[in-house]
Amino acid sequence: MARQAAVLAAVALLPGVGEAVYFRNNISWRSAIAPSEMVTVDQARAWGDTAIWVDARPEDEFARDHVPAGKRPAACGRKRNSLRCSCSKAVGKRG
Amino acid sequence: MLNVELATAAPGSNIKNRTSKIIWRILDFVLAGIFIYAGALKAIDPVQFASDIDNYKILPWPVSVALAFYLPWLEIFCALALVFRFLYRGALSILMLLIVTFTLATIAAKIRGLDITCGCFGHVSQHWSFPSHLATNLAILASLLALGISNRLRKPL
Repeated sequence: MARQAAVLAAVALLPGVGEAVYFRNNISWRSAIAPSEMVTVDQARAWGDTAIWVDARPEDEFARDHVPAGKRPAACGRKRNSLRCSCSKAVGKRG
Repeated sequence: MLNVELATAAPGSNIKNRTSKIIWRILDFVLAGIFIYAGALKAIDPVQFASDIDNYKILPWPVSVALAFYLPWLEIFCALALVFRFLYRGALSILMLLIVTFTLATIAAKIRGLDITCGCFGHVSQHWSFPSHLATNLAILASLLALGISNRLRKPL
């Protein structure tokens, strides 16, 4: 039984690795933020007033610390720990 | 006298045995269908599944990503093993391990007050309540256990 399980586990690795290669540009292995949604602090500063920062964190977190020009149009809703919330948290930390 | 009784009893018992084997095979196919469906939904959108795993706040992000690429395929291959009865017991044990792990993680998340979706069946399971998750997982686990026990008692079809 253990041998059978090991064979299946090994076989499933192949398409898993293939998919990881295929999706390499869609997901970051270092943080929960997709590479396409990440901007550097310098980029953000360069955008100046032309960018509107949307902060979707809960109100208490927003009150504690947020991007100076940050707007608060929406809460995270039921999925407080969603990818979108993580993104806005990271944006808030970077200032 | 004994020979006559055996001769009359044999066809009935044979039919019963065959019916029981067919029922177990149907259960094989139903469970395989569930896991292929669940695996395919997650394999199509591994980014969302990685986020779903990360929401449990148990594993570091890189591990969540690795599992998001790997687990759907493991589910699919184990389901195919149930259909073709190839590496059958190994597949059953892996599926049981997966379902127990998912169930424990869901319970742990509930205890810690995390309001999350399990990601088990993609967007279909997004609005399931905690009792629905638990009931589904336990029903699947019970079916897998039944298949495991019946497989020990019967010969291949």
